[in-house]
Amino acid sequence: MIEFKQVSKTFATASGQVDAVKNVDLTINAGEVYGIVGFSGAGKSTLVRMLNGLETPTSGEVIINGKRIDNLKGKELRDQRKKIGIIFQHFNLLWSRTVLENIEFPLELIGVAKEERHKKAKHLADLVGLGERINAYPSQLSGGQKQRVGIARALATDPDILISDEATSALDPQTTDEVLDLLDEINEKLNLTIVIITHEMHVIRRLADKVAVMENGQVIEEGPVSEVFTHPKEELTKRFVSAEVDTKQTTDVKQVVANLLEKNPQGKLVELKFHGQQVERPVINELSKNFPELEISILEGSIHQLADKGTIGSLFVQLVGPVEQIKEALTLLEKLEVEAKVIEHG
Amino acid sequence: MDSQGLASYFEFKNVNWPDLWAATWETVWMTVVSVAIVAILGLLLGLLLYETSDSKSFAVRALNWIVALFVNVFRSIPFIILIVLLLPVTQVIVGAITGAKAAIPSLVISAAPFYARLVELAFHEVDGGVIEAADAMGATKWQIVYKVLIPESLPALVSGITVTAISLIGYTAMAGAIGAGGLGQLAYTDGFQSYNNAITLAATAVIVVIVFVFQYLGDFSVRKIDKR
Repeated sequence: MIEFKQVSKTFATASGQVDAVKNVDLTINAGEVYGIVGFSGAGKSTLVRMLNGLETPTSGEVIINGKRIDNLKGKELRDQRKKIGIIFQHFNLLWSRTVLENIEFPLELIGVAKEERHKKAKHLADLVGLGERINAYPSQLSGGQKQRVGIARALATDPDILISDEATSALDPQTTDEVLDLLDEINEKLNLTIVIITHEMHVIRRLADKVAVMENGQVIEEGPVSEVFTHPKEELTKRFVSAEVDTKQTTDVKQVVANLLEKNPQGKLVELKFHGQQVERPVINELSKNFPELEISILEGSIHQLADKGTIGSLFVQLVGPVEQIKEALTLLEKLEVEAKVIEHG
Repeated sequence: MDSQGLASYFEFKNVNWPDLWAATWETVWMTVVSVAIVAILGLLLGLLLYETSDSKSFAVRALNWIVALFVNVFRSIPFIILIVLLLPVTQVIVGAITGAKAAIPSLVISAAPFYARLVELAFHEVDGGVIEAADAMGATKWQIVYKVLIPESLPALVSGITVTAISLIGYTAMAGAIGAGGLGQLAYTDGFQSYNNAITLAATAVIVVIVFVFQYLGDFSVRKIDKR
């Protein structure tokens, strides 16, 4: 439904030309939650702002539902914009309006009658859990509540697409989770296409079906989240993924691993990686049943849930016992489609 | 006529109270009418300055330059000179060069550019993110002006018009000295020129009260509308 075709954007600045976006080809399907991740300045915001004409590409085409929208002007552009909701990092609410009046704002713009506006805004306030606070002013709300108002406002015109521009970056971790839950709920209830711009892989993992990684204006890697998380190809992607997945692999875990290696030099330390269905398989049970002489100790492990219901996990185990049995155990793991990596001593 | 000595301030028997009352109303009338016109004119001029700033189009930049020049020139002319300078213009517009009505053109022309600058500043203070949000929701330029710019800068617009109103009260007194009527004229002719210090003191007291009332109304409104 959304297509970027060879899209580039060049800014002329005092210090010369800057290529904010370079030859981006991207397709986002209807109903998908599509994450675009990258550091600030990677061009993700510029790219997504082309969807509602806040930026125009220097070259290339932006197509929504088969209609080219990058060259729209005046009324056509304004009509197109009404079909796309957007939520911002700094909420961008009008301080002079109450919660209800803020949600009504986009409806006022298109001339919806007062009664209907009220009804719809109240319904949306309930949807985002602010039914009790409709007469409060933004200054009386917490950051998370302000973003809920932002979300309700973005949904007021029944858009097909919701853009989230770093919407959780100004919030604390707990509030971030609440807002992400809300977005997840909305995606399920309303079957919206959601485009998320973020620099936090956590947000992608929680919400997105697909992800594109951007660096220096280019999309360097793209695919389903479970795929990108388990088999990242590019260096930057690996950094983003490992920052998110291996949060617990801190120095003291490495220290424990080193100690165990020292204590049991005869054993093998193995890192197991699971993705998808394998997480639910009783892998350790299989091992101990088949190789009763093996001593299996679990050193460290973590499991992460992905938005598309996939799971990824990693486990450090130590196998102590006869060398042949260890070898056979590794073969069995291979059969079970578990990635096993032996960590060598020293 | 005995005019010397501090005691002269308190010879209130010399004050013609109906005259003072009439002069008070003239001053209030001149102030209210000129503030109303200045508010509208200043808002339009300020909007024009705001909308034409930072444009890439040469024509728009030229317009901004002309408006800014007009504003700066009329803001720099001392009021007492401006009023004399504008006498022929006043004659054409009002048909007279004395009386409260004749003071209005000079009052407006001196204060509107000043208020226009305050309006422009107030609009520039509005959070750019909010304007972008309205833009992204498909708002027209005009909708952005009356649904975002004006409501979001209203406290600054109101405190700006309060400051302008108070300086206009001062200007009406100056206009009064050359025949516009009001408390300025009363203090100048019946007070100063007739060595009647009690009249000058009474006129001063009333002007101070008028200023306080305007200041209070302005502050009260700002507190009422500012929900930040």
